Amino acid sequence: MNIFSLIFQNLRRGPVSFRLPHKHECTSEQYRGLIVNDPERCVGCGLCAYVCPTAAIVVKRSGDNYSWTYDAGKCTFCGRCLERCKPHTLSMESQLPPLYSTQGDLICELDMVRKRPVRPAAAPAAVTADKPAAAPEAIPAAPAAVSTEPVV
Amino acid sequence: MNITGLIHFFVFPGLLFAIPAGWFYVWGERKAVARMQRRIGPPLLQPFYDFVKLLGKRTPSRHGIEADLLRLWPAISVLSMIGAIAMLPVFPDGRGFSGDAVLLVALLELPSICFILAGFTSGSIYGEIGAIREAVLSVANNLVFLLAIVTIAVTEKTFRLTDMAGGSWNPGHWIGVFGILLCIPAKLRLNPFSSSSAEQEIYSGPLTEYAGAALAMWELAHGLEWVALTGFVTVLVMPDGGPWWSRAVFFVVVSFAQVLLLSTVAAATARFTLQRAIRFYWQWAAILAVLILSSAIYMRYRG
Repeated sequence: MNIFSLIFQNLRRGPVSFRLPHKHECTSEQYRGLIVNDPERCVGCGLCAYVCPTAAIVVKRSGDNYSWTYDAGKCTFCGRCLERCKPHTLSMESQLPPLYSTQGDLICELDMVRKRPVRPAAAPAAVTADKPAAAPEAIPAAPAAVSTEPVV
Repeated sequence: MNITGLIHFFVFPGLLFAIPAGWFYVWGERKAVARMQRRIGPPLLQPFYDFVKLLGKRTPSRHGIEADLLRLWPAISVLSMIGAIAMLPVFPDGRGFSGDAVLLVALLELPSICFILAGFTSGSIYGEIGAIREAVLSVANNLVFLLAIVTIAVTEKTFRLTDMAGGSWNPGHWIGVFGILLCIPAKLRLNPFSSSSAEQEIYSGPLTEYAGAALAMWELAHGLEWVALTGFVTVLVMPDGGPWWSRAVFFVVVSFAQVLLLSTVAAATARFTLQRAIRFYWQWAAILAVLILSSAIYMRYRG
């Protein structure tokens, strides 16, 4: 009758599970939570949308404006968008995503004005001849799959 | 049907009581098993939420006689269980008729038959396997179940429920009650006799193809089965006399105590194979039942 003593012990010790939504905070800083975009620094290159395997991030452009949409319901939290984001404007929350009851509740949409890439000032001809200016790293060229606009 | 009969059917222990009580017993079983496994378990209203949620689901459309039959089986189960519960003589008001115990047994058996038919109607291989298992289990446990009821009937010298009910000092009566209690896990498809509705093996067997409102009806029928079967045992052990409210409280408390007892058995045991379940009922329980029936008949003719 070991099973009954085990059941009795389980009843005495109490449950180890907890009811959602629970108050426990995620303590790991490396936890992959929701994607957060910093609109001040985002240049709208669209690389995040390009590499997203589940199309959770969508970037749509119209002229100088663009919208950055993130659907947490589709996100697999793989972190590929963070790896490719050159300006490092994307980050992941270290907290558990909130519970939601309606599909699309966690969709985040940001409407932003596209920032023109800033090229370094034209170097003197003599200097250019000896040492060519380095290509700007901060603003990568947008992939053809995302945008057909030429990068200035 | 007089006004008392209507109250029994619609109020207590019928519809108005039985449906919430069924959800409460289902919750009690799930909660007790969860606590025994160190889980927190569902909240009190979870069976009600499940029922409402299932009612609102859109289901794949089926056509023809098959669709109608798949809706008919759970409806028959619910109605038969409400009828069986309404027949339980909780209050000694002289209702019933000679031989109504036979009708009660038939009503208690209908959900099992509908479960089998649903499995074959569904056209699913898992449904058919579950239906076959349920049919075999039903034959196995009903031998003991019927013998136990006959034992009580012979001991009390009647097949009238009102006369069979009530506490008796006759050992045959209590052995019969024990025999009925032994069959309840198989009738409710609880561990260790849950092979016909095994979730992991055959995707709940006959319920594989069910969804939405029809599945909600099956869940409701299952809750009502809890009320009917535990209530049947309760009225067989309920002492005679006493005010109506004390009998009602006794009915609920003893029924819920059985829920906890059966939950403990379910949590403590693994699922029997079909052969082992049959062996349990036929080899041991049937021998026991035959012995008690023989002794009951002997006692009757002796005294």
